[in-house]
Amino acid sequence: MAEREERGGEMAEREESRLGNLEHLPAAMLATILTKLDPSSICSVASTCRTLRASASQIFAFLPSFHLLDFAPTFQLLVPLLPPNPYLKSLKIDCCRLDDSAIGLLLQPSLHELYLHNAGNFSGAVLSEIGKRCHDLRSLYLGSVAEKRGRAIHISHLEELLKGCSELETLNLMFDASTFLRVCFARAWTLASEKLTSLEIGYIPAVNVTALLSPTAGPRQPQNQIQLSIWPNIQRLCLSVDYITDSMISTISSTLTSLIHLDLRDAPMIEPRVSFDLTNSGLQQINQHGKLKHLSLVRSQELLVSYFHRVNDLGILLMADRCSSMESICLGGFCRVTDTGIRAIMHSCSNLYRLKVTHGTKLTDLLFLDISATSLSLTHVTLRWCNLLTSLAIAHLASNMDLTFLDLRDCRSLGDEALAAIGTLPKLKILLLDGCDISDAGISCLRNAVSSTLVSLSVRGCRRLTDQCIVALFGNSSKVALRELDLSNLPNISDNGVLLLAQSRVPIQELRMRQCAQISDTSVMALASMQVDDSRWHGNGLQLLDLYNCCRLTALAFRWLKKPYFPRLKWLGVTGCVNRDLVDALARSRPYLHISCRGDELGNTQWDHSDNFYVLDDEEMDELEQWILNGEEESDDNDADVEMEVAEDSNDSDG
Amino acid sequence: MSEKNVASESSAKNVVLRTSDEQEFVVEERIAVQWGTIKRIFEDTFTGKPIPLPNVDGKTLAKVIEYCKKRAETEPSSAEGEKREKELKRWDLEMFLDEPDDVIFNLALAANYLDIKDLLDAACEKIADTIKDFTVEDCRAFFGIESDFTPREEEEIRAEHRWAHDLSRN
Repeated sequence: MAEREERGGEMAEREESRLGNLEHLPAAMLATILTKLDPSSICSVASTCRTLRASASQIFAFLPSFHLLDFAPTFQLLVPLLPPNPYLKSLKIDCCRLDDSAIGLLLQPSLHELYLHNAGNFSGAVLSEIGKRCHDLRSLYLGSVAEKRGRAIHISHLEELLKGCSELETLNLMFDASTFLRVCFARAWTLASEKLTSLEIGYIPAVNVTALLSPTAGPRQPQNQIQLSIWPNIQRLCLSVDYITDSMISTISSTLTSLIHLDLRDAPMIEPRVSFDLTNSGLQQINQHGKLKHLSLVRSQELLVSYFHRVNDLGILLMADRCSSMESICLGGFCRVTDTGIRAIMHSCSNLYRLKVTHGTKLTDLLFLDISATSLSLTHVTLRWCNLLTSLAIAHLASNMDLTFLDLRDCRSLGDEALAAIGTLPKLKILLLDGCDISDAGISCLRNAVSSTLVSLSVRGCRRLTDQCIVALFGNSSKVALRELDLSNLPNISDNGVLLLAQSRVPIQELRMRQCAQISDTSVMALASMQVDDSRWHGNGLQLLDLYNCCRLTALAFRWLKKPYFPRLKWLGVTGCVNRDLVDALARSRPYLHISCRGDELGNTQWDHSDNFYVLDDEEMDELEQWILNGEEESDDNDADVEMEVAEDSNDSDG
Repeated sequence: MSEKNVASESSAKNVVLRTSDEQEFVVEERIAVQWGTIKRIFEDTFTGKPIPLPNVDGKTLAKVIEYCKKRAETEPSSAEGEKREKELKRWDLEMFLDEPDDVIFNLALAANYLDIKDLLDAACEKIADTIKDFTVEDCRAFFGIESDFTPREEEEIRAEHRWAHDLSRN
């Protein structure tokens, strides 16, 4: 009661700077505001008073867009929220607790855009139902459909989907398409709308793609009829395959005449033979129709440590020659490409704004030496696992004043001088420096960026950082732009650092401190009591907190994770194995909080944290560091690799 | 009357608006007639005298005019369709970035009264953005309202909307 009076007094004070009473709020204006909110905010507003409850409950029949992705609703919960709504154009929802019974609720005929994430409990029938009910659909995303055992997608489902959605422009089939027979698959695609311009497939073997697009594929036609082409108007193609091969690239490049955006990713299970791999000749086939603007070729290390060994600078040079209109290039796993190749790209593609190179183990500071001589205006740059790059390269790169995204993770030779250069970038929004050799002094160069434009900063594993880096980052100011901070794997961050963070009152929304050995219950208490912007918020604004493997946390910390602390927390990472009962009790008291206990990365983060080798044991870490600093290749047991290196060293001419 | 004659002779026609706090603003006619309310007055009862706007104060009207002028200046954009929508949206959000909540709210009220669709949309978008992550208490404070639910209703609401904002007290 006393709290309420106090609150009343505060409110009276606030009323002068706050809004007028509800009576002055016109219904039309309220409705406009409500239609722009997401469903959970509408429900929060509905819980305030009777008038707003009535307005809010009506609004669900008029909402143009319904996006519910950070919480998986049940069917019962959805019924009042998704009434028949002729204005509903966009629906995005996490379906992991829904199944076929929700089809009637979700598949509304007015939809233009439909995203069903985690649809593992649905059967393939959902595809045919979409084809039957949503004729106006322009954009469809289907994640993991029927992946739970015993529910298969039949080719007829895909056929009905493609036949029924005649306006479809964008299609993302994020599931395993390898189970479809090639001939049936080809026949199904002939039914697709001609407006289909963007296609993504979750997994498909390379041979299926090649067979699908080859002129001899497709249904048998009488000889005087023209062969129907597959995917004739596709401009954007994203495929996850088993092996990126020359024949697949060549077939794609020759048959898809409108291709603007090509994104291929593979994950070999065994080291590919030459006929099943990408070589220089495959690269030369790219962009036969001259329209390609975005290219991404990535060999992921998911299943096997493996690279594009058969591609070197020659292939890249010949490709760059034909691809001068490119705007975005991503090359992952091209371990033999040197500065020459990448520079050829930069000089040839004058419209390039995004450059992403991972595992560029041969790239040196010469890479960006003459970048100011080009007219390039790069905005997104990723240079990951490029251990030979030093601060000098970054200083040259920083002449690109338009940079907004900079990912320099695991470039272990980067130091504080690089940060001095980065601190001058006036538009930088996202900066990832995991594993770089930086210190507190370098971090202070970022203070300007943090206060004005930088929204997301990651210094995971930058082991030299101490509590002082918090002071260096924020100074005394709480009005900063930074909302996401990753301080994981920092052995020198202690409770003092977190206290400083809490005292700074910065409105942080995502905080990760995985595997910080010195963090204890005091830190959780400090964060729980953190006040931010009293006039508007109650309690802190943290939505994501990752404390996985902070071994000093005890039961006390869990008490401070319960309500009413952390009122906005949606994602929590803790270690579950030792204190299972504590985690369960917390989960019961906060049933709508995502709790991850096994070390999974939290949230909707786009940063790819796979292929990490962070270990907790200090000794092992030092050895690893030593080994990397000696400049060796990271795939240690690969004889072929060593052989090729030796061969290269003797053939290489300095350039 | 003479005012109007003078106005019609000059190349830019102007309209005079008088706000609730007795301030007068001169606005170009071509901007003012884009506002539904003004347009209706123009067509029906315009006498040449300053148009009274009892629901809008001077400070807010100044901002409304500033917004409309800026919008008019940036209209010709090279982007089209959806891209242009996004650009305009971002531009709107930037414009309102540092304004305190009550200013935005008054702008929305004014836009509603004057029937300026774009401004109403933009201001409501900003308000929606502000209350997006609010808890129920934050919402009540923002709108300046008290809960008028009976304890029974309060329980119902908690059960119904618990998923949205985790109402349980523990």
